[in-house]
Amino acid sequence: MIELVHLNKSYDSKPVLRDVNMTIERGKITVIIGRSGCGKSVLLKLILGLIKPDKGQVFVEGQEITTMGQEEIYKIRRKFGMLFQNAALFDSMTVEENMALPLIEHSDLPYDVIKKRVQEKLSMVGMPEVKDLKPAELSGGMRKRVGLARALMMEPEIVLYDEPTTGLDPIMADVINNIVIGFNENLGITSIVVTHDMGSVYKIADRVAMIQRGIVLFDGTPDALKKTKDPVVRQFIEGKAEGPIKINREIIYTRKEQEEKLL
Amino acid sequence: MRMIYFVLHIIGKKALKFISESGGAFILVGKSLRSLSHLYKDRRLVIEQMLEIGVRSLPLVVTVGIFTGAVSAWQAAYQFQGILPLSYVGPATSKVIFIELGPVLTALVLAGRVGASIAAELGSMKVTEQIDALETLAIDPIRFLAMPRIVAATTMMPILVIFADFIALFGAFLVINMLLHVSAETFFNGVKSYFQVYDVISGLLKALVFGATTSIAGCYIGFQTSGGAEGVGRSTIKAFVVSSALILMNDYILAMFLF
Repeated sequence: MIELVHLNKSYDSKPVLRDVNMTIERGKITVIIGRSGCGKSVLLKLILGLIKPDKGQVFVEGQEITTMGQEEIYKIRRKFGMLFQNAALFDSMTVEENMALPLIEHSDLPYDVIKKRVQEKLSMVGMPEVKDLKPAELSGGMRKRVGLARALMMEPEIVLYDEPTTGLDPIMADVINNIVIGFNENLGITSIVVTHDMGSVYKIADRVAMIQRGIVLFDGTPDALKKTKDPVVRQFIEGKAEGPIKINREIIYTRKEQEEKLL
Repeated sequence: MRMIYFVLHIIGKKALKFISESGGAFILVGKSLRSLSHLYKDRRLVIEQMLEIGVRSLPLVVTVGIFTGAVSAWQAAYQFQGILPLSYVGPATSKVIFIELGPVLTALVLAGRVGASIAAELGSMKVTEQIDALETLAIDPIRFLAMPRIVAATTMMPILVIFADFIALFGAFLVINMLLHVSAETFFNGVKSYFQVYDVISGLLKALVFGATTSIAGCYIGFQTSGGAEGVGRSTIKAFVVSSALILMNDYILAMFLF
């Protein structure tokens, strides 16, 4: 279980997350939605301990990670797998080397056993024959699936997905959604998915949280999300330009802010 | 008044940035030194970097070396006209090569070949989240990426300078023998009689420091990269400029201590 308690994070004195409180339940798929730049990816980085909050605490399995040193946090991170938006595969390595790396670093397993595990995980994401290719030779969808397979190499309890379907065609997006559901149902993995793909939300989510301007505006089931009367949430889930979220005003606000910074 | 405030504000901001960046670079050095305990485990990474930084830089070092020797011999001969006999061109050129030109010119050229390429590689890893990916795999990026590069550059730079020194000496010999018609015997006797091991050692010590500073600057600037492809371009140039400046500054400081 992961608990976020009164989390606050700012960049250049601009608040990104404001008093975020959330509990991520074990074995469930929690989806975090919100507009681009609303703080979703920052939230994932805080959960992983990649950045520290200005205020507040993050508890992973009851352990507070915000005050931990590097060695302790590395131990906690072995419980996690992460799929990055662009997969973040290491360019200079083949798919097999990418996937073998965490096991080479953290285990004493012989390379033959590691190779078998690489093959097993690649088969789980439906890509058994790409181990000798370099990331540059893979399409966007293939890269994401290899990224997913790499995230599973350490057999994590929790997997974080940063916009797993962004930039993919609808069929490949559905393949990724099915893989996420499969990991959850077959391996009992706790999943935290950051996305603004509403199709994915309704297909995979056990629970949805919406962040708007750094605040958790909605937290509930996908059914409750569909029925909500909150006009801001409705505008987002229906994908409407008109509504309480003023796009143009935000742009002017940002420019004004930049001008103030320059002065 | 407003103008003074504005100028002070800019100076203060720059000073704070300089202090913070210097502090960041020292932290990187400290963490890299601590990672040396993994040197044996990470020997494959270090050897790969030695190949990249050392062996693959050889063609460039040979080119720079031969022309450095040739031009310094030619210009020494020009300056000696009517003052000293040409038999002194060999010893004078060899001294300046071992003490100054070999290490400094090799390091300056490698500031582009090594410092800038480290910054570009780590910078593009940073903006494509590959550094974050290492962190999430519980792999320390400083141990995995910076330490092997710093160790490789620090050890390979003196070796490259030895190559550059002797290639430059050969370049000088070609000019002195073939164009200035000084016999090989006179050239080598002159070089031998004025040769001091300390000159070579001081040059190699300089190379060691230049190798370390170039790679540390490349790694630090690479890790600080932000802003996509444009940011990577900025970091690459910054690494080259900072490395070159640090080489010249360190050259002066070391000269004060060594000679």
